[in-house]
Amino acid sequence: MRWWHRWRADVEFRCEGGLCERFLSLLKQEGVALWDVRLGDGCVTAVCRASEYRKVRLPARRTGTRVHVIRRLGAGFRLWAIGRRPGLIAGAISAVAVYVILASCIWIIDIQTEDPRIRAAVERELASCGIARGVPASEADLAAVRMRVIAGVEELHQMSVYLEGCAARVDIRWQEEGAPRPDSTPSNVIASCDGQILSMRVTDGQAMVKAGDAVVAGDLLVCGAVETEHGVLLSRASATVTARTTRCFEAAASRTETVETDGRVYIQPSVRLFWWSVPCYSPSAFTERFSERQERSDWRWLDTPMPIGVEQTVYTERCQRTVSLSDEQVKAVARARLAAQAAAVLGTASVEESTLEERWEGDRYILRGQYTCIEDIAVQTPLLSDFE
Amino acid sequence: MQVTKQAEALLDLPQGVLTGELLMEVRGRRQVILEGACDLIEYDESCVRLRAEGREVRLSGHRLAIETLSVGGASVSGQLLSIEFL
Repeated sequence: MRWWHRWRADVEFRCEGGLCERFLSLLKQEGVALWDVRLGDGCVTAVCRASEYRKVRLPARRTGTRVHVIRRLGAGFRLWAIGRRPGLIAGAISAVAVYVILASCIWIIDIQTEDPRIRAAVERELASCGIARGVPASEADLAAVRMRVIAGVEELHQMSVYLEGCAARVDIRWQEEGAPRPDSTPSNVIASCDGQILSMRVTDGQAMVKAGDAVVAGDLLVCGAVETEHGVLLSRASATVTARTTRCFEAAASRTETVETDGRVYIQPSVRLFWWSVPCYSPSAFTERFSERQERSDWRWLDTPMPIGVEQTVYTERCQRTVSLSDEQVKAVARARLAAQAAAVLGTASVEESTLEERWEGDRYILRGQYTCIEDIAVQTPLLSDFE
Repeated sequence: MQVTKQAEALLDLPQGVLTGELLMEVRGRRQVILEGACDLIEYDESCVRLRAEGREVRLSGHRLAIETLSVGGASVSGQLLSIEFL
């Protein structure tokens, strides 16, 4: 069977008795195209188009041939079979309609933050910009929304909004508490710790020290107030000051340690349908001993997230347990704590030399590390000057 | 008929193109394609007889099968031994 015959409706029939050759010639004269004419067991089989099969009757009667359909071939017959089931067609049309409606509107607003205060503020700003559940996605001006939300939420440092199917994903970076905001407030650069300066690269401000100088923590390295012929110009000093510093850290561990482990786990699942969340659990209160974690999974269709899914809150009990450690284990714990402490403080600094001192004080093992490092000691502070 | 033959000669066309004579294409010993009106007279595995242009064509061979049969012509495949014009 040629491949293109599968895309239309064909009929394979068998003719027997009578004058088969005459029957085939008459069919040809009627304009019926035949192919795959094969001799069988006392019969002839052939294939013709389904639309031409009705022309078979008269030649068959005239030649006394009996004709039987063997097979119905091609996609045409399959579509005909489907066409006789209106429920199936209605279901398929409904599914496509639901998919188009769901995929063309925003049903999920996914804000990537755990902070409920920032989440509420961002949601409020998004709503004021027209990004809400049920709104057609084509009406969303994402660039304008982004600018407006950043301007409206003070803690927000950076933000991006993008659409993924029916979901509006909002990635945000907010200002860490205590961290300086990237602004142009006049500032100085001071030393974050004691050390000897190896090199300096000043990008803004006036250098107050030079390479080879020894400085202590808090010393002014680069001044933001620059004297010019027009007077004093206040700027935001900026510099990279590489210095050799000496850092000391101390970590301790004892033979009996209290460790925190995971205890019982409780899961509270909810089925989410559009903006409704249907809880599938009995409400219960959890104390502060339980840590809380949100998990969420969206149902996807054709790789497009749908506004249907499951979200669950996982409560994990935090248990404290006292364990007895051997001397080797105590030393290993102290070493790990010291390494973590050093890594947290030193960050990207390179360690030139390190020495470790250890001692026992009763059950406590104390490990003291002294590190000679090469690091950037420049840190910006607001300019407190009398020029203002 | 005479005019069409003259036209064929004038235009330097192959004989029978304009007059609608039986055109037969033989592909090795495996297939014969007949273009033009032809009726099936006899059909079995060793012999296929066709009437075309008032003449009878007899194809002999082994495992002969009619691939297509339509107003435009016929195609017979198999292991051909002889083609006779009766």
